Amino acid sequence: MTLQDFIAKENVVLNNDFDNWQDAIRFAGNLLIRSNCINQTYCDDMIKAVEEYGPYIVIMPGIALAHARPNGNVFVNQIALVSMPKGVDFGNSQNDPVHFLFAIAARTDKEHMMIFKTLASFLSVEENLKALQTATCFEDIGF
Amino acid sequence: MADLLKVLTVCGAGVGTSTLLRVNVQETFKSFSLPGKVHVENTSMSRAKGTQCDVIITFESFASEARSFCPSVIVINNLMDMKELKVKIGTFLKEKNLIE
Repeated sequence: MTLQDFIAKENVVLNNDFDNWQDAIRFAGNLLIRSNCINQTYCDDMIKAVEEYGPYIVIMPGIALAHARPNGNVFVNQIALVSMPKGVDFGNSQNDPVHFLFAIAARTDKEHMMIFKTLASFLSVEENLKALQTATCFEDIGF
Repeated sequence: MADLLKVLTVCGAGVGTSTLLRVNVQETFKSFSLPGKVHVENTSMSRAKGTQCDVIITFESFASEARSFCPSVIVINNLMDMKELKVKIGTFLKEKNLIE
């Protein structure tokens, strides 16, 4: 199982800045809506999760994993990625600003965990983080 | 044999982030030579309130709520930083006199 199975090129947008974290999540969510992976409710739920539980989704410096409970609003397991050179603050005192926002959609809790683990092992490799930071196109990242 | 420690990793929904934290926390506990079994479970904040445990490991967003019902709370900033986990869990184990 590799990330390639869940990250389509059309759902990765590099070098796009936003004024606030809500707009960033909305943009990533819209990528997933456009590719018929989620509906609008899931996109709204990802924003609500941060409003309700706080910015813990910024799991490490510069990287946020937006997600919500599926509740029947996810049709295809998929991850969208947006990179933001200027960075966006989520209100996480330790790990702001966020430069890479992953929006994660999974149909079930079990698949959610599996995708999270696959993404986490990618993010635990220093070379992968470097590739993310220097990528100018999807192919550079090497998912 | 009863568990030496019962540990909860906690996030909002109890599914994604707390699972990742559980995996890294389990690995960290294994790196200490402890005289018994450590049981680690991931859960949501609402379910954590009704669950008996020795320590909660969570993120800043949930720290004050966790402290309101659990005396031992470890706050993790970088989920992927195994060094941070090792240092913070090590401090907890020393306080419990489980390691030197």
